[in-house]
Amino acid sequence: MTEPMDRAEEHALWRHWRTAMVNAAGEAVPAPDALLLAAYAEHRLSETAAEDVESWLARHPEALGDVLAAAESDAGGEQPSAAALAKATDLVSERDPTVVPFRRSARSASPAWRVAAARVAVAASLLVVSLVGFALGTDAYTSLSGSDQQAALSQDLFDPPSGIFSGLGEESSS
Amino acid sequence: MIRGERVADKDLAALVAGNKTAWDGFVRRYAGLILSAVRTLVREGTEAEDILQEVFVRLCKDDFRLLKTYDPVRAGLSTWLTIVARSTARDVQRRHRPPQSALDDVPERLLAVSDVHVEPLRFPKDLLSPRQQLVLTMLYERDMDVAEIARTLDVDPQTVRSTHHKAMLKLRAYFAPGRQ
Repeated sequence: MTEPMDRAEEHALWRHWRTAMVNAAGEAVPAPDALLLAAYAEHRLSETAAEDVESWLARHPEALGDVLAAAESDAGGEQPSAAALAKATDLVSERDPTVVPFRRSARSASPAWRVAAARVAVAASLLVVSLVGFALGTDAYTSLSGSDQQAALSQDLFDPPSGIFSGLGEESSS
Repeated sequence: MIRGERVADKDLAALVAGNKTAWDGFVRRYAGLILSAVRTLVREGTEAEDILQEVFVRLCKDDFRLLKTYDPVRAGLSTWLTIVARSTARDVQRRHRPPQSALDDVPERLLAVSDVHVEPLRFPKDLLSPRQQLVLTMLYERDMDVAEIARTLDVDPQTVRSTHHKAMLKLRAYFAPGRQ
């Protein structure tokens, strides 16, 4: 492209510029990810996107090697040992294909009569329990207080006091 | 890029879903490519196969996080894998690089902090366009010839020569004696 002397001078200019650029600019352009570099290697980027990548590549010649290698990638090269392949395949274990994510079964809405019946059943249960409890409590009380008191109590409850109706009886009889 | 390579969406979906059969097929198909990609960066011996393992670990770890970033619409899988593999190789080498010299071996005067204030260099960052920078990097950093550069950039060789020529004119003008 140029004479040897010119080439040496151009190389020196480039080195001079690159040193100054690195010192002055720092890291102005963010590093592109692997997918962006791959797209660049395959010439799939727009001009603007390619410019950003090129600006970064100019400061990172080691990554430029990656792009060049990627553009000529070849799967037919050397093959790894069987042990290396086995180690790599073991990184992902077999998953049980019968396992399915747990899902709650969809329940149909209960009809209104079932809800009402359930509530009535609960109320009836409470009533029965209350009556049985009351009867048991009464039995226990009477058995503890003795038969005399029971008789007196029964008399008090069911027999009317003699004073209230005595006059009435006399009047009616007379 | 491998000729005729096209990864079916369903294969990729099965792969990132953790399907063992898909993973085994993927490993067998691309292990050679990854090994070839890292071979030029590593020393002799088993180091290349260690890096091969590291690449596959990166691809599948965290529920295939890295592999899920791949988009077949944007680039071929082999191209993307080559870049991932070489980037991984450099990271591994950086991690394992021995320290250059022990701190105790460095003379104390070299560790002394100078109190001299240095003005930051004013430099026109956009003196050269990104394309011009890249062409010069390829020419002078990687010793590539014009035909190689043209092929890499998918342009005509004459365009490369022209880009180089214009870049040099700018640099000569900028670094001319008496200019700074």
